[in-house]
Amino acid sequence: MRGALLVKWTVLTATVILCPIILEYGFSYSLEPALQAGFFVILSVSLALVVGLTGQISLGHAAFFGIGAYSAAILASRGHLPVLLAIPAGTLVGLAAGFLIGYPVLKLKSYYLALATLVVGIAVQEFFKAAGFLTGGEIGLYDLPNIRLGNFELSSSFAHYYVVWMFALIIVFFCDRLSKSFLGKRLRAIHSDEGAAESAGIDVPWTKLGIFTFSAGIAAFGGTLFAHCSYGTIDPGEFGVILSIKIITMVVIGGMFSVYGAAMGAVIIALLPEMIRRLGDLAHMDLTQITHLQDIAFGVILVIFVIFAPQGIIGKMRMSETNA
Amino acid sequence: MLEVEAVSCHFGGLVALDNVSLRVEENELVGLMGPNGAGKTTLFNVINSFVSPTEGTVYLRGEEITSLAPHMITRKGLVRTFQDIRVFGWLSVLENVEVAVPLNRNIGFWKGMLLTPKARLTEGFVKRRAAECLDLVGLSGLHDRSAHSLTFGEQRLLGVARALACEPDILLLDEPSSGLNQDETEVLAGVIREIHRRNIAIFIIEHHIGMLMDLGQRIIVLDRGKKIMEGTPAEVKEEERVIEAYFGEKKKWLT
Repeated sequence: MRGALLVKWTVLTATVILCPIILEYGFSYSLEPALQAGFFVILSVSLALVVGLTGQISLGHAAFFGIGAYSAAILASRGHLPVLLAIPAGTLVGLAAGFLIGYPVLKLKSYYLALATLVVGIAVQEFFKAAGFLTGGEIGLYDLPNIRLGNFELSSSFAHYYVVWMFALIIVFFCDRLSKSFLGKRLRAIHSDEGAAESAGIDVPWTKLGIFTFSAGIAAFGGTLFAHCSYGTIDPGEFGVILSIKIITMVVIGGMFSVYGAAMGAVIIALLPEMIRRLGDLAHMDLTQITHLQDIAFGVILVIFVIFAPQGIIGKMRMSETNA
Repeated sequence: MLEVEAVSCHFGGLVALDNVSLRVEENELVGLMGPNGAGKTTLFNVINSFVSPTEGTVYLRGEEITSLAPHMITRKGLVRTFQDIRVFGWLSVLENVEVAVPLNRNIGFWKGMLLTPKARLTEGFVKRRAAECLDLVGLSGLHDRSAHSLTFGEQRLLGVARALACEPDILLLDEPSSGLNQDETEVLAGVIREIHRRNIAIFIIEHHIGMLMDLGQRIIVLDRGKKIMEGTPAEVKEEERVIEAYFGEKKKWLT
């Protein structure tokens, strides 16, 4: 068991380390989708704790990504805080937002919770647009500083990639442990039956709020990296409902209970548009056609998964294992 | 131990419980009878705080628990099971019981992620404790099965094991024998006797007066939200004519 874990992580780490080198020097591909995949992994894994494990649907997860990104960016660019302080500060703001939003909305269940989180997500995005004096309005914030370690500035796309993926792997590792710990089991108990969980001595409201806050904190941390370890620009359009729904899709196609599955789903969703683009290029399609094709592929994949593998990739693999 | 004082519970115009008072002493085994709709489950729901009573109070060891959250009541040693079982379908059989062992709650965010040696020790203890509870109800061989894959009777026993893992001083069993066949009922009666032998008070909703004759020291009869009588099993059986008058279906549910 421990050996298998070691092998898994060695392969995973080696892939993450070698991927950009191969992409850049072997195929002269852009690193952009691979970097985006890193952010998606952070978002997907954090949401998997809430949606997959605990069974609390959230359609506004992008809001916390945005809150982290904007808080860090504002503190660093307007407050002139060093980026290495802006990142934890932005994460703290995300944690606080998670607690304050989670406290009222988690009293709701199923459709009502979905609707409430959706509305919160939209409201936060509208706030980014409207509070121009802070957030730069529709245009957003740009020329955001990179992370600095002493005199060394992490400005290359290689550096961005490695920092983001290092944290993504750390988050995957610890969230996986969390999901398999007794806390993870209590969360699955809540997912199964809240009333029975309460009568088994589990503090259901507090546990739900705890995991929601934690998840929001991770998403916000991802957002702070997005602001300072990517292109150095953020605008409200990036933190909308579309992103929230993409994150849910990643969790669903990966398998509800598996943190690794959620990470895998994130990589697939991040790389899908690039793969479609290359296919479209081969077929001499123009840009609008390719964009349509990407949307269609996204929808088709989601439908295929919901019909044929509602338990996700990992769930499907486990089923075939036990059947064999 | 448990004291219910003048509890009434109204749902809109419906009176589910009407001025019900009762006591369950330490280590006692008390049966609760009554036809469908008599308010038995509602009484349990009031006791473990799933439902707030319209009037009245519930005391546990002299302390008022009427407005406590359900999980706090469990932690104070009053644990219930459900008539419709309600196992955790997303957990294995062993995990169903593990999450009820009080010590499992020591593992929170940090210990869960870091998995310190101390946390591993806690895990080991919780697993052993959960396995003991499964042994007691006779589900030892099924640890890794998914809870939903168990038979109805096994799920019932799993519900009892889960309640036991909470370390109760008093256990409320909601019709544990309903839906079970003769053999399963006998197994269950044995388990209940064994639990009672461990100095755990039991308050049990049961239709089979035979089973209560076997187990019970005292029976309380509820009808249309009112407590209509209380006595030893023999007394209740002798009061057949009274019962007949109240329920109008002699023998059917008395056998």
